[in-house]
Amino acid sequence: MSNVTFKFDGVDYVGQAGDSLATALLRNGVLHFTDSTYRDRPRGIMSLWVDEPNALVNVDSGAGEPMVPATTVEITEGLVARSLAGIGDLPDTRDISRYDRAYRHADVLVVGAGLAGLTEAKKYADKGKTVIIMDDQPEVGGHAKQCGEVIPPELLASLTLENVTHLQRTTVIGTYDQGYAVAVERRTDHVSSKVSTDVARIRTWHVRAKHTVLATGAFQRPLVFANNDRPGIMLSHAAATYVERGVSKFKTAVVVTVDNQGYTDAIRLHKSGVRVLAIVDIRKKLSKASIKLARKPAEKLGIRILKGATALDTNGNLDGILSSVVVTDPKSGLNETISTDLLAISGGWTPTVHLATYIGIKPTWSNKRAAFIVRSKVKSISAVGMLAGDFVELEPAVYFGTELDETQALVAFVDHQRDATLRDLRRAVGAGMVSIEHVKRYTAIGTAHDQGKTSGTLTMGLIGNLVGLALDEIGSLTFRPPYIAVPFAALAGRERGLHTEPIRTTSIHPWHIAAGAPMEDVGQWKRPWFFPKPGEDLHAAVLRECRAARNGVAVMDASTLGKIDIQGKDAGEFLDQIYTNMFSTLKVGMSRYGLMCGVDGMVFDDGVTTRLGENHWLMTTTTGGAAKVMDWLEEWLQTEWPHLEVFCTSVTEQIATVAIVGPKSRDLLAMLSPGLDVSKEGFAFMENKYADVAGIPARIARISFSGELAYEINVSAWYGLELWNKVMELGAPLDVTPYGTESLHVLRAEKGFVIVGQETDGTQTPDDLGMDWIVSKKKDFIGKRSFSRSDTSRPDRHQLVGLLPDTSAFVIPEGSYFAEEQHKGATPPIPHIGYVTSSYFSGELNRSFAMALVHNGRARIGDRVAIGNETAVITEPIFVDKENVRRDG
Amino acid sequence: MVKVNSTKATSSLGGAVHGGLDKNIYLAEVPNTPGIDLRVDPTSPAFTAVNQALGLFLNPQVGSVVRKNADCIVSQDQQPSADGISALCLGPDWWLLTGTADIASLLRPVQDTHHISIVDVSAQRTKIEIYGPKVKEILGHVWEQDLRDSTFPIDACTQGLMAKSPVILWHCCENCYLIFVRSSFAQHLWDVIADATVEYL
Repeated sequence: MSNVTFKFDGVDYVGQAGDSLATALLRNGVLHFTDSTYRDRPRGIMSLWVDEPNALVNVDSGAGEPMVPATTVEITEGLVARSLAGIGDLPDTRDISRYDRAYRHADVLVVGAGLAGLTEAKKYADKGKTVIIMDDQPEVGGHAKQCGEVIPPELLASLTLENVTHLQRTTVIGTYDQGYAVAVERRTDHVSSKVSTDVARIRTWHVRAKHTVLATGAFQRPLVFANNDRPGIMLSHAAATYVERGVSKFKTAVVVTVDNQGYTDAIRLHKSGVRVLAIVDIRKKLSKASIKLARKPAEKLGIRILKGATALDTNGNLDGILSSVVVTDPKSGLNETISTDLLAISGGWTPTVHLATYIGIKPTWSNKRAAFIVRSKVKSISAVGMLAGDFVELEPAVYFGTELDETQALVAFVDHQRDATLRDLRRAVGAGMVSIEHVKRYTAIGTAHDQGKTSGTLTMGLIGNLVGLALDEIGSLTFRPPYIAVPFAALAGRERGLHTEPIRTTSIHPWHIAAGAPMEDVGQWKRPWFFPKPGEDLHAAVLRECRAARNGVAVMDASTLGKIDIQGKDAGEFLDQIYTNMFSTLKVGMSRYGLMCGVDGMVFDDGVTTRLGENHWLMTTTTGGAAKVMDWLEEWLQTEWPHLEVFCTSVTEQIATVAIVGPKSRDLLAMLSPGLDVSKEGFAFMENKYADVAGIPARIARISFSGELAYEINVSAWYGLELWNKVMELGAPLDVTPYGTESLHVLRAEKGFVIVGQETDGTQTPDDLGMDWIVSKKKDFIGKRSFSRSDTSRPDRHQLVGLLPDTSAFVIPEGSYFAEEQHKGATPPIPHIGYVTSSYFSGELNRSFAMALVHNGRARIGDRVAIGNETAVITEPIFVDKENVRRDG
Repeated sequence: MVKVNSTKATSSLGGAVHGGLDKNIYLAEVPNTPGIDLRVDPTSPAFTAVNQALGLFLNPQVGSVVRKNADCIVSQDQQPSADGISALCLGPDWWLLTGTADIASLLRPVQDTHHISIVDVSAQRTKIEIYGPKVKEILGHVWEQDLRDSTFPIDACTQGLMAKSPVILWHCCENCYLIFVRSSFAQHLWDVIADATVEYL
C-alpha cells in the first residue's frame, strides 16, 4: 500500500491508496468529524457508503464538490476537503472539467455487482446476451467482498466477456419505464485531485435494456436510544469493515444487535484485535440454526452476551465522544453502564428499494426479515439478493429502539442529518398525523442529503409503535430519482456553451461573418442583423440599408424561409383547405401570398406559395414556422384527407434565396441574367421565371416584402454563396447594399406587412390584422367555422393599427402597453387599451412609427393614446406607398 | 437536378476531415452528392412503375436500404460505378435515393402517368462519413438509438435527432456509418461529433 497525502480541515494527513476519506481519517484517529446542522452536536462517521448521514465534506481540490459523504470520496494525492455542518458551497469559479454522456442498449442491465448481481450477470452472459453491469462502489463484490469472502473467480471472469460491459463507480440514479435507466460514472476523481479537461470526469449513461436485474443490496439500520449520535457509535458492519481495513483507534467495543449480523460483526471485530465487551441482543430466544451459527461461535470466543437487552443511553467525554453505553432490560431490571470506545449497532437490514420504487414496484413488509423487500411481479424486472430479502437467516427482531422518556427522546436521533428525534415523531403523531408522507413533511425526516437512507424504515417502525399499526399498514416511503446527488454539469454533459443548442446557418453565412455582421437569433437560425460600415451603429446602418432599398438596390439572404415542395393532382384542393384564400385557381408560374389559420380561426402562419407546374407547388413558410407547418400539413393529409393525392417534402435547406430589393433591382437582375426579359410587362408582379443567374440555374420570383420592386433569386444551396458573391460583384456599380433582419423589419412595417409571431401571438384572426380581404367567402378552409363564434366575430376585438408618436424621435419600446390620452403621465393602475407589436425609426418618414393591437382599434383611428408621458396618434397600419405604385419600380 | 458542374459549389463543411483512416476514428464530409426524395405508395401501381424505371426493387420496410451497383466505397480506393443507386426507406411511402445514376431522369416519365413525388434534395442535406474501430462508442455519445449490429445491421437506416439536429443514419459497411444531416445543422453537428472523439483519438 502506498501512502497518499491529503488535507482535511486545513490539516495534512497521510492515508493509504484505495482509502476512502472516511477510512483515512479514522485511520488517523479522527472521530469527531463535524457538528450537526441544527443542534451543534458532535458527530462522527457512522456508515460505509452513501447512506452516511453525518460525515459530509466539501471537496475543494479539482472540480470541487459540495456536500459529498466522506465515505464515498476516494483519497488521491493533493486532495483538499473540509468538513461540513450540513450545508456546502459551490466554488465561485466556472467548472471547466469535461462531462459527457453515453447511450447504450443491452439485453440485460444488472444494477449491483455484489454476489447476487454477479451471479445474474454471468447467467445472462453465458446465454450470449449483451449485459451491462453497473456498481456504484470502487470495488466489485459488494458485502461479500467487504466481509472478506472470496468472490468465485468464474463470476469475475464473466465480467471480461465481449458481450459484457462492466462499470464500477457507476451509480444508477434513476430507473424509468421501458427498461430505461440513467447512471453516473465517476471516472477521474479517484485517479487525480486535478481538474480533468480531456477525459470526462463524470459520464452520464442512458441505458435501455430489455431486462433489468436489481441487485442493489441493503443498508444496515441504526437503533433509536438516547444520545445515539455520538462519535464512536457506528453501524456494526461499517465498524467491522473499518477495523479490518486497519483502523486501530478502537480498543474495546459493545455490539448492540437485533439480528445475527451483530454476532458476525462482533466476531470480525474480535478477530481484528478489538476486545468485544458484550453483545447486547434484544432477542432472548433464537432458532437452533441461529444459536449454532451466531451465538455459540461468539460464546466460544468468550464474548459476553446480554440476552433480551438493548441500549438505553450513552455517555461521552468532554468532547462529546462516546465513553460508555447504558444497557437495559426492563423485564429483568438490568441497567448497566459499560465503558467502551466503540458502540456497534446492528438494527437489521434495509434493502435499497429506491430503484424498484421509481418504476412503480411497491416494496412489501416482511416480519421475518424486519424489512421492506422487493418481489418483482414485472416480467422485465427482477430483484435479487438482499433487495429480495435474501437474509432471512439473520433472524432479525422487528425492533427499532427501547421505551424512552421525554428528556431521552429529545436526544434520540432518527434522522441525524435533519437532527430529527423521537420527540419530533411523537409531536407529529400527537398533531394527528399517521401517514408517513405527512410525518416526513412535518419533521423533515428523510428530506436531507441522504434522502432517508438510514432513517426511512426506522421512522416507519417508530410511527407504527406510536400509533399501534403494523408496518404493512403504514406503507413505505415514496422515493424519487436521483438516488444520489448529481452535479448539474454531469447531466448537461457536452451541452454547454455553443453546444447547448444547434446553430443553424445558411450557405451564405460565411460571407455574413466575413462582413462582420452582428447576428440575430431567429429560432435556431443565426441571421445577419445589420451590416455596419466602420463607425456605424445599428441606427446608422439601418438608415443606410433602408435608404438603399427604397432608392437604389439592396440585397438580403432570405434562405432561412421554410420551404415545402408539394406534388400531386389534388395539391390545389389541399392548399384551398390549408389557406384562407383560394389557390387552386392560380396560374402555373405565378405566386400568391396566403394566410393559414388554426382550427380556432387564429392566424397560424403565412407565406408565398408558387405553382411551379400543373401538379407541383412550392410553399414558403415563416423562418420559425417551417417545421410546425410541415407537421400541420402531414397531420391533415395523414389523418383527415388520406384520399388526397398529395405528397409534401421539406426543401428548406435545398434552396438558397437571395432577395434583391429596390428601384434599381431590375437593372441589377438584367446584369445578372442578360437574356432575361425583366421589363415591367415581360416579368409581372408575382410571376416566376427560370433562367441562369450569374451562370447558375435559378428560379426568379418577383415578390416584394418591402413594397419596392424586388426579386427573389432561388438556386440550389450549393450555389447560394456563389450567387451572393456575383450579386455583390456585378452590383457594385449600383452600390448594391446588403441588409439584415432589422432593416427587413423596418421596410415591411413601413408598408404595413405583418410578421406572424410579432404582430400575432396565436389570438389574432385575419380580420384582427385588417386582412379580411384574404379570407375567402366562397370556399371552406381550416378555421373558417370558428369565425362565427361570438367572441371571434365581435366587432371590438383588439385590432391592428398604426401609431405615430407626437415626439417624432421617440421610438416606443416594443411590448409597451398604452392607455387613452386622458391618462397621460398618470400613476398606474390605469386601464390600458392596447400594446405595441413593432416599433422603429423610419428614415423614409424621418420619424418614429409603430404597429399596435388596440381594443376596438379601427374605430379609434385619429384618437390619441398615452404611453407614460408621451402621446401618439392612432393611424391606419400603413405608412409608405399606400397606393402600391413602387412595386413596379 | 443541378449537377456539380462548377468549382463554385460549396458545401456546409467545406469537405472537412477529422481523425484518420488509420486511427480509431475517421470523420469526413462527403460533400455535394446527389439525392432525390421519392414519395410513392408501395401498394399502388406506381410502385411497380418506379421499380421498373429504377431497375431495382425498393424495399417498403422502413429502415431498409437497397442498393444497385453501389458497393460501399467509403474509405476505399475505388471508383464508384456510374449507375449506382442506393434507396433508403425512410417512411411507409418515402425513400431517399442517392447514387451516381441520373435518378430524376429515370423517374420523371413515371410521374407523367402515376402519383409519385420526385424532389431534388441534393443540397438539403450533406453527408458525414464516420468510420473506425471506435465508431460505435463515439456515435453512442450523440445517438440514442440502438447501434448493436443485431438491431442495426449493415444496410439499415433510421432517422432521429443527433445533437438535436435532424439526421438520417445509414450503417453502410463494417464500422462505417453515413450521417445525412440537414445542411443548416451540419456545422453544429460536426463540432459536437468531433468533440466526442477526443478520448478516442
